[in-house]
Amino acid sequence: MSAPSGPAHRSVANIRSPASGNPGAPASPHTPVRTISSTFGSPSSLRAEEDIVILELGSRYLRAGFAGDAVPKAAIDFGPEEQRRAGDYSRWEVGYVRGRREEKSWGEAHELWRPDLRALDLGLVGDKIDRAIRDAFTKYLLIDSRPRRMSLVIPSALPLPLLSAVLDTLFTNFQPPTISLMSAPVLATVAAGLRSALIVDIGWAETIVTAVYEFREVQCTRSVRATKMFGEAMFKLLADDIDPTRPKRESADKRADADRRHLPSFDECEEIAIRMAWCKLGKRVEARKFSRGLTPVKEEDELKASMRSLDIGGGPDSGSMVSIPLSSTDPPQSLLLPFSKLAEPCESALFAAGTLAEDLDDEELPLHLLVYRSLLQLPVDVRSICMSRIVFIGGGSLIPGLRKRVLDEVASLIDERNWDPVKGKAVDQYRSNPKLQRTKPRQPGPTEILEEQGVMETPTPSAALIEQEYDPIEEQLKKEAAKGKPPVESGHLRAVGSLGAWSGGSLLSQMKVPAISIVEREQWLQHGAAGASKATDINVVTAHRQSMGAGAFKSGDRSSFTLGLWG
Amino acid sequence: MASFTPYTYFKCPCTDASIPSRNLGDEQPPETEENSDDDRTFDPRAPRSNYSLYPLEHLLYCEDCHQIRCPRCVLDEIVTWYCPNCLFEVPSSTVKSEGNRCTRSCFQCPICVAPLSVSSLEAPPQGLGAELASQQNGPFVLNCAYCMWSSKEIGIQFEKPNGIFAQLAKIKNGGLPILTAKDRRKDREERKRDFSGSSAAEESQESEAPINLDPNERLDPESQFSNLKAFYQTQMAESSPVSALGFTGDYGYGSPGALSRIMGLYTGGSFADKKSKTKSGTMREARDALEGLQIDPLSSDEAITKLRTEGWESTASAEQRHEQTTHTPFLSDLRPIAYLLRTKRSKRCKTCRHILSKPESKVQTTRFRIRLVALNYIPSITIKPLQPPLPTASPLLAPLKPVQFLLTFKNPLFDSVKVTVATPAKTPGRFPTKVTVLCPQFEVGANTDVWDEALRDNHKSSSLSGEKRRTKAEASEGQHQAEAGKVWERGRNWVSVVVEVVPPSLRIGGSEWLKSEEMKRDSGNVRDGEEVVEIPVFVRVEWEGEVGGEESGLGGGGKEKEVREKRELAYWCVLGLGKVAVD
Repeated sequence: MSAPSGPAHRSVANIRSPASGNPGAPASPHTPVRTISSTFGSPSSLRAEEDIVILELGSRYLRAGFAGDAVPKAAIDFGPEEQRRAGDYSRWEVGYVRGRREEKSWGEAHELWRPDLRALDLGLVGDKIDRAIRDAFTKYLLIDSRPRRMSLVIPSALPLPLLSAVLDTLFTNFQPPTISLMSAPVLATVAAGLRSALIVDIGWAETIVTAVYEFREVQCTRSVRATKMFGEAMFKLLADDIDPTRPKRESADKRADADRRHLPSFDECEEIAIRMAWCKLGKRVEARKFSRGLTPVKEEDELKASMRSLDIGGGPDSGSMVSIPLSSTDPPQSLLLPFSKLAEPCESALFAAGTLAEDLDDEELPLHLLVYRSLLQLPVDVRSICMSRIVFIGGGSLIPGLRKRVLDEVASLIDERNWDPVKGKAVDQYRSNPKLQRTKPRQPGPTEILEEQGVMETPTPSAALIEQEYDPIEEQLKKEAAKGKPPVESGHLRAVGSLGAWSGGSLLSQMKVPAISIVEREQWLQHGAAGASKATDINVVTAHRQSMGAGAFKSGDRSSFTLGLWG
Repeated sequence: MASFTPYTYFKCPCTDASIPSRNLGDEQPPETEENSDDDRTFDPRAPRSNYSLYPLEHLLYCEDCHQIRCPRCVLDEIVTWYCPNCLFEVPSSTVKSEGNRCTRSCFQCPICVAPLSVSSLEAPPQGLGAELASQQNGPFVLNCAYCMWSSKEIGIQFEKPNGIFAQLAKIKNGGLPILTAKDRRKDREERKRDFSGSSAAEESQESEAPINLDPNERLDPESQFSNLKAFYQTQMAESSPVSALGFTGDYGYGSPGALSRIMGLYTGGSFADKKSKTKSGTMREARDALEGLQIDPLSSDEAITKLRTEGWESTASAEQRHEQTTHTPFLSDLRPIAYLLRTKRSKRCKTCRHILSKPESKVQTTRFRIRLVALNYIPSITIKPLQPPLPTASPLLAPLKPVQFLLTFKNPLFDSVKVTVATPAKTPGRFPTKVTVLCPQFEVGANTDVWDEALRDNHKSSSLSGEKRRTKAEASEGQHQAEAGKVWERGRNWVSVVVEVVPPSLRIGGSEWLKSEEMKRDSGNVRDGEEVVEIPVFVRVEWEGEVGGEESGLGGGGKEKEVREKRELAYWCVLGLGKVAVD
């Protein structure tokens, strides 16, 4: 449960100086470096006993625990049942039926925030966070309300209004002396034991692919194909199965409210999605290409249906059926579904099966394409490092088979397209034209990685393309420099497991690695009190972005703070 | 839908001070306007109001601030930690290291959360000498008495009937042993020692070092975390020995900490930073499972096959997963849940830090040393219909038909209080209810001794009982008798007043002129909770109380009577009256 290697809060001495206990440390003996918390502060750690609370905020869950815990102690969701008034115990009444809310979008009542901030009540967000944290503190963390330092793990692109609402709530209601802000992708990298990674966060509203290179976020792409869409697809699947005529009727009149009672609730859909959904094995892209050229919209559905039946034929053991009990429908019933059908939401929502690649908007790329594209946009070196450090995090990554599928699809995309950002008919013609073959080697650098095997044939290389002349001295220098350094895994696709952003935050906080952005309470209350002008008031200091080891040294100047990435 | 119990909620005044509601984007202008208006009506249906409303029983009262205190405006202090199952009081020093869980033998069933009990797999000894067999022996299991789950199902058996927590920590589901954190640490140290013998550069030798640990093993989160932590610690130690060697000789400062601090004083730290940047060796990445790296195996064919063959019943529900610390897709992955500890807490006022509530520290007692609950300080409000509904009639309110309710204010104070009740003529929201309080201002008698009352009653029985009789008689006749400006009924420390309510019609597609402003803006279907008639009421209580302890002490005992202070308290309440029938 807690720090596996002894009590975490007492191990201050060995946090910074494990080498002192190690007689054979490579360097000559030296006094270990201590972290100095402020300019005039004594190096002795008076706050040793104080533990830091790590909070991770996502759009559906709050995770909380202490620095040094491997997994969060509490994960609290923001569902409507948690938002009742105090002392409203009706949900424990016998025969209580969960209210059906009319929602603008799927699962909206369960979100803390949504990506679209228009008409979002920030006060309500603050209230929800406040209650969730209070709940976590009293029920799971078992701590009192004495002020203690907090580390906040948040998505790297959290809008400033939201961040400011979150900080306001934390500072006014919990009085932490400081809050460190840490970005989730970097922490997920840390929690995987890596320095660079391609973090694929299949979250609730968005799938975010972040390239992290040497603990810096270098690129971020996103797609709306994520768990939310997946859940909705699951709902449609179940609803269609219960009532095959539903889609027609729904289009006929929009207020099919009476019907809703026959359909499963959000909670049940989500439960089915996490329990039974799975993802098919990666197949070669040919299967999807089949649909090219059929554009009429009306035929699209039929096409999809026929494709589905094809897929079912191809899936493993299409014959087996599973029964799923539904209790939120009126009357309760049991659905008998072919097992392969349960893989369909994943296909349609996350891999955009049945949609032409040309029809996809930029923000709704299927996962494999998103990963491929973000790799493509990276510089060559970073790409080669990142592609063998793909880290899947987020709730969606737990769907059995999904990670393998994404990687297989990406691999087949690389086979097919070969790190060439240009595609289309014209390019294909251009390539296949034998007269133009000579220019082929002039393709830009990115192909290098895959073609290292020696496919490169340069009949008449121009001067710019001629290999560097062999320099034995430089070679030797390089060899010398590389000595002792292990070879770096790069150039092939590989997935690495991570403990997740929360655990990364816990790890870093326990090792006293300071965050770039540490907000102090007084400063926030002073600067942040001016309401809307908060953002401009903040004096953004050029942050020392250092690597972890050396960055353990805080600058003495704390008169102003930065919001780092989020400022 | 069937029955409805009227309820009252109190809004803690502290919420006014917290973050103002701020909507982003298009709805901003009207919102801000409303916010600037101090006298706005409290809307019980606004999503935020759920967070500021409390039943009276949940509220405390600070005697020094003379203010209601809700769970949001008190500070907690923990008196004791204890296990709710075995009631063992856990000392504060060990709470954290035990992970906030009971480390004795208290477990919850992973299937149904009922408490588990330890039982022997062997049949109890029978026959001759059964009494002599001192105790059961042989493998023990955890059993759930409610759903009959047993730890045998996940392949876990114990040797001893006590100390289950420690035993469980060493067994995987299926019975295989877990390498404990201690073992891992020992192994790590061993490897380090092996290292130091050879040169640090030749790290290729590392593969020989781990004898008993597989560098490709699948780690559980705990051990991966501890491996990662150990790895980073060595890395950080190796990569930052710089400041120690930098200038020590020149300046004669022994401690690198002292040195870098002085450097930081004048240069803002940048000098030392640069120094450390250039000299520090780069950290490397974790390379195998011993350092916490886990290559994702990706293939989940096994899980999919299991899903297909065993189906829905073999998977763990969302609630069951929530209780587990790791990802447990199947029932066979679940582990018994050690009981979370609980706390007894004392509460302090956030503003003046006075203790509002303090329980006895002993776990078994339920008494409180100090308990200033709001119930003893502010009048409680109970609601009942003026005419008792006929048993045959529907419990729902008929739309657009006036109904009268009786609000009874009961005064817990030893002084009589003046109560002023204000309601909006129309409640906010899409379906406004019309509200009229027939007697908005009245005085509630003091909560004096019952015998005082009896004596005084004798004295002026004529007027009071006369009134009572009148009301009783008229109540049966109908609604016309509730007079405006008159109290309906009055007792020793309570007063009832009549409130008349015209419930709204929940029809969506009414004619245009009947619709309210909000309705025009948002003409969706009836939502959850909108059929409940909830009335915001602003209550103002005034009384003359004794001056607080210190001041009266200064004034001297004799003058105590004269030193009385006028106090007032004002707060919003929400009265839930009933549900409206949908027509």
